[in-house]
Amino acid sequence: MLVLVLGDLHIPNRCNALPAKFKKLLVPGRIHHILCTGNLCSKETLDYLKTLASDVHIVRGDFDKISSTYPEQKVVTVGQFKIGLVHGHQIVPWGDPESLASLQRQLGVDILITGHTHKFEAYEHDGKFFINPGSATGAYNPINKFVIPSFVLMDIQSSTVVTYVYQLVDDEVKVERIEYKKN
Amino acid sequence: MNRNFDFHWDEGGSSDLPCAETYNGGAAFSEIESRIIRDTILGIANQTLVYLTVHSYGQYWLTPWGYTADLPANYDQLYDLAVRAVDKLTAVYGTQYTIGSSTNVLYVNTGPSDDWAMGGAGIPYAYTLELRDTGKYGFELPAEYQVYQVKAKDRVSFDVLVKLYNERSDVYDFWTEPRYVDFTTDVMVPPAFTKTFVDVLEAFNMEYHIKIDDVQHTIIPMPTMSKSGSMSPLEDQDKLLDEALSVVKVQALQMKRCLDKRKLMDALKHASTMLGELRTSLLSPKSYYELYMAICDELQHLEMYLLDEFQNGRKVADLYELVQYAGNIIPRLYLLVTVGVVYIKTNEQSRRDILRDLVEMCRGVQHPLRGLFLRNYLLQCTRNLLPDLAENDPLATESYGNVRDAVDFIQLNFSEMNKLWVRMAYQGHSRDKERRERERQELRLLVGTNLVRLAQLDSVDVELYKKVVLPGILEQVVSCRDALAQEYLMECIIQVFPDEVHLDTLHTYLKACAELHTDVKVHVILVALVERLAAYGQRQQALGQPPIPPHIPLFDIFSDQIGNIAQARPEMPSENLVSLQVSLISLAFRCYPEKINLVDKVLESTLVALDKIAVEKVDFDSALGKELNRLLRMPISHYNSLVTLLQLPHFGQVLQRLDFNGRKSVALHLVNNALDNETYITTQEHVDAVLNMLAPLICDQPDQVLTGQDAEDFAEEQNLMARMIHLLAAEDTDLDQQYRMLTSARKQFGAGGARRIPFTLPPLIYEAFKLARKYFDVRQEDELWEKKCEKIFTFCHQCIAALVKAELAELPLRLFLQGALAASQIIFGTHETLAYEFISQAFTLYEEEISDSKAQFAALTLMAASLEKLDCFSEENSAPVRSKCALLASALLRKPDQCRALILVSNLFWSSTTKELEGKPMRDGKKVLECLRKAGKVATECLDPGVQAQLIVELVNVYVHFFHQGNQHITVTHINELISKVRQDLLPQLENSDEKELIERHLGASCEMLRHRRDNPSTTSDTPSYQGIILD
Repeated sequence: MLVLVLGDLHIPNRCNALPAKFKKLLVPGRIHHILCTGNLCSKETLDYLKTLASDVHIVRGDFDKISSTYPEQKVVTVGQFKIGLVHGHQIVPWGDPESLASLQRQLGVDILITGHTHKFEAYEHDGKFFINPGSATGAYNPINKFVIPSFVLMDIQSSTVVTYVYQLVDDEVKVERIEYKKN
Repeated sequence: MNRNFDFHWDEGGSSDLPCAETYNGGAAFSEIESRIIRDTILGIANQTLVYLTVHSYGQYWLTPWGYTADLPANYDQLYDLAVRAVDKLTAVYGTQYTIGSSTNVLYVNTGPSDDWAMGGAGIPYAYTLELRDTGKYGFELPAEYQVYQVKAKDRVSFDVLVKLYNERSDVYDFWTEPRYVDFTTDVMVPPAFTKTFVDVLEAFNMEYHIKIDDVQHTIIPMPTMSKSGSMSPLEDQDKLLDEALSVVKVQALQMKRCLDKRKLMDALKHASTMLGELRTSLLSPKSYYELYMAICDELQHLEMYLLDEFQNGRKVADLYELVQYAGNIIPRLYLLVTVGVVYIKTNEQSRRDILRDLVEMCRGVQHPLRGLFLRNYLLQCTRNLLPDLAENDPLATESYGNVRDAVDFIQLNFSEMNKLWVRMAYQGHSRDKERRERERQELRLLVGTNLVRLAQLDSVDVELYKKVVLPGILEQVVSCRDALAQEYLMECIIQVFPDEVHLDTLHTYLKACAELHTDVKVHVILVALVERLAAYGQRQQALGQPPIPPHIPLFDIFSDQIGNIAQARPEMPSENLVSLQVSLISLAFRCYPEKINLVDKVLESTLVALDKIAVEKVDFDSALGKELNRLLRMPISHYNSLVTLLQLPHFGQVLQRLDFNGRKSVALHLVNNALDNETYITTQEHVDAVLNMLAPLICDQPDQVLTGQDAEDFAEEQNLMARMIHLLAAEDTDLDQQYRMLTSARKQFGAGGARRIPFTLPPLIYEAFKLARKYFDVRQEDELWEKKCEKIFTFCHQCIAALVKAELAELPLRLFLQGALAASQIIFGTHETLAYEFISQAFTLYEEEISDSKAQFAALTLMAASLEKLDCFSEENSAPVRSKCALLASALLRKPDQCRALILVSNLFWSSTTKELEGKPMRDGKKVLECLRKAGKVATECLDPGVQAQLIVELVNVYVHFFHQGNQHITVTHINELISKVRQDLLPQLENSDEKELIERHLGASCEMLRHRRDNPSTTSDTPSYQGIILD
């Protein structure tokens, strides 16, 4: 089961498009679910995601309109995994592992996915798995000096998640693999 | 959908009208469906061999291309495979699919999926399959439901029928209920089930027959045929043709029998009777053609026999005399031609005289249809007999003749046929004119074949073509004064003769063009000629030759000629003139690729032409508007670079002649093109020039039409514009240029009004933030960098203020926070002041403009979170903002929001920092506890025990969070109290529900963590001890 995890695209405010090399990788029909951390920030981008997979879950980012219907948080079950999805601007301090763990306990999920920092993260903490896919467009962020465009593909097989992170470094796509097993 | 694909999109054969069947969508891949098809195909293109698109009707098996009459490079393979497929279809259904390229078989159509699949996605075999219906149903093919009349003859089969009736009524539609054995009932069966159904009927030996073969027939009334003219009604045509064909069959049989018995005179008599059928006036051209073909087949037998006989020495001259006594002129002349051919074949030296004799004798038939076919017969029979020898060839004797005789022969035949063909137009009643013109169109090939024959003569060299062949044809074409004939024949000349001779005779040809009938669409002819020569030039270039011989100034010749034609034909619609300009641009692209000034020259002369018509703005939906749109799109898609377009000074001027909708459509095309090709704009001058062209997207226009545009379309258009702003990017070495570009763009976008700036200003602001950081990065090299950063932040501040003025609140509030964070990260002289200004603006907006409680909570969350990250404030600036935040949190409307906001604010006293602390966290444990106490109090004020319990469990986690980080004001007792409050007080009050389960689970997970920490004390000294935590 392939799950695409991405977010913070910020098209058109901060970027003109998803990097062409990412677009090439994202072929319709192979991805089963999309989990998006928000900040799309236009209907066209949503339409594009819908061409990749029919099952698209989105939570509201700080730059998605208040009037949009995206929820603040969402719990999605894929195979044996309960996955929590939150944009992350609501968690203070931003990206703080202790605060994220607290949210994970509240949602009772195996995997917690957040965004907002525009910085890729994937780690295990107290037996749970935390993912931040970064910004798929490498959108500007006042806090970070550099932003590397990145997204994550999770391959979920029974009790194992193999996470592939795709990063665009010097216009070359680099892929890393991280495995997480549920106990 | 089938005109929406991006391969030669909108180059003809598609419509810009959304209601048209051939609507092109307005832009390539404008439709989600075509995009999905595109993406799906691209995903599998490299492993796909064949692309089939199945369409409803016509009985065609079509190959690309739709955009040109030229054939694809692999046409032979495409054709062979199609033949095999069609043969299989014929074997099964007896259908006769026509094979060919879609332009050639049907018509020009651009943007269909098969063109794209082959040309765009690179799939080697692409076909359009038009299914077998030839127009009876058109686009909506029926499902062929049949109705069976069934009778069960015994008890067992009757039970089966009843079972079907009771259990399978979803499939079988019983029109009458089966009542008893031997009762007849009607059942309608869908096509997929007929076999199953019949199998059942057979198995149980039921009596049945098909009552209605296709239910659709009974529902859709058959179209009634219109009666037509002097000829028999269409429904009689088949009958008449059948009768004539059966006469032919009988007579031909008898002719062959007589030939077998060597009774030549009797055979000729039968042949004559058979040929007599061609005297009819009742048949339509189409039926007449079928009859003619059948008779030609039979005449071949006669010719073969005669050749055999007369090679054996009998005198053919006698026979030639003899057949001239046949009673009627039609059989006589057909026989004369047949015998004449034998005469020539058996006696080479008679060639010149006989040919001349035959072509003259045929004048005897002046009935257009009969004459045309007779002369066609002559042309077919003599195709290998013409004296195709050069004048100085020793074999070309006086009696044999030479190429001049061959040319004379064909030209005479051609002019006679053309006269007959033209005369057809004036036969009969004027109300049938339309039908006659259609029939003439069907017959044009007969006339054109003469030109094909001329082109096939090997001995015609350029000189002869120039002096004799072309002038002869043109004289006939011009003098016939018939628009239909002229248009067809002029195009025919272009197509059948080789490119090289066209280049040599351009002037003659173009001169004739100017003399054609005023109804002739000269532009169509010229476009075809230019197209052909441009393709030639391109091929030459591919071979490494100069595209056009340098001594022929092709572009100038056409350019001048188009001017002349425009002058000579003031009544020519201006759109036709523009379509000529379109082909000129195509010529310039293909034959003079390096001369961009030629393209501008075309645009300039277009402008001159537009000056002549007194229209201020050209209506986009008019024919002229469409052509102008096509003209302007050509350089856009050819250069794929907005910046290159700026080298065409007249491009913008022509663009300005379009009305609002036209300019907007072109502007959208430009923006899409720039985004697709990532065309960066690198100087301020270019920014101004480009934005000028895009004006209809940027600000209100005096002639704009705003009715009918919905909010979603508007947002889509503005989002495109906003995306393009990121393409305004100077070289990284020239940051000052970038600043000038942004301020210049700001001026233009600022004029966009309150509807547009929410889309266009944010991208500018972000580009400015990025620029400030770039200045910071090169601060060693630019001593003025601090001043420049200050200017940039002032610029951003003004932009955001403009959004506030446009009565927005949430967006500018967020942008102010972003600005504060951006300024805090770049350490320049006034950055604290600026960051403070941004923050205070955000707070002001919050207090004055945001009133919705949900929006308030969202905004306050962001304000607290941003403050937590801001590290540039001195204690003097920072303290009041922190307290303000706490105050605002307590002032929220809903208690749960208050509680959660206070929790967020507590972080400001713990992990955030000030200038004085130099990056070290504040760690004001007392203030943190104060905040949390307040949050706890607010939580207990919530009346709903469920909400209260949820908040307190959240608080447990927050207390633990700070406890864990060493806040000594927080103790194990605090945590115990909260846990016990939930356990003892609140949970018992709750009924079993999902909510209770969630709270218990959350509490359970929190306790689990605490137990783990209590039972596994850390060995390091900076984590506190969890001894004394009560968990059970």
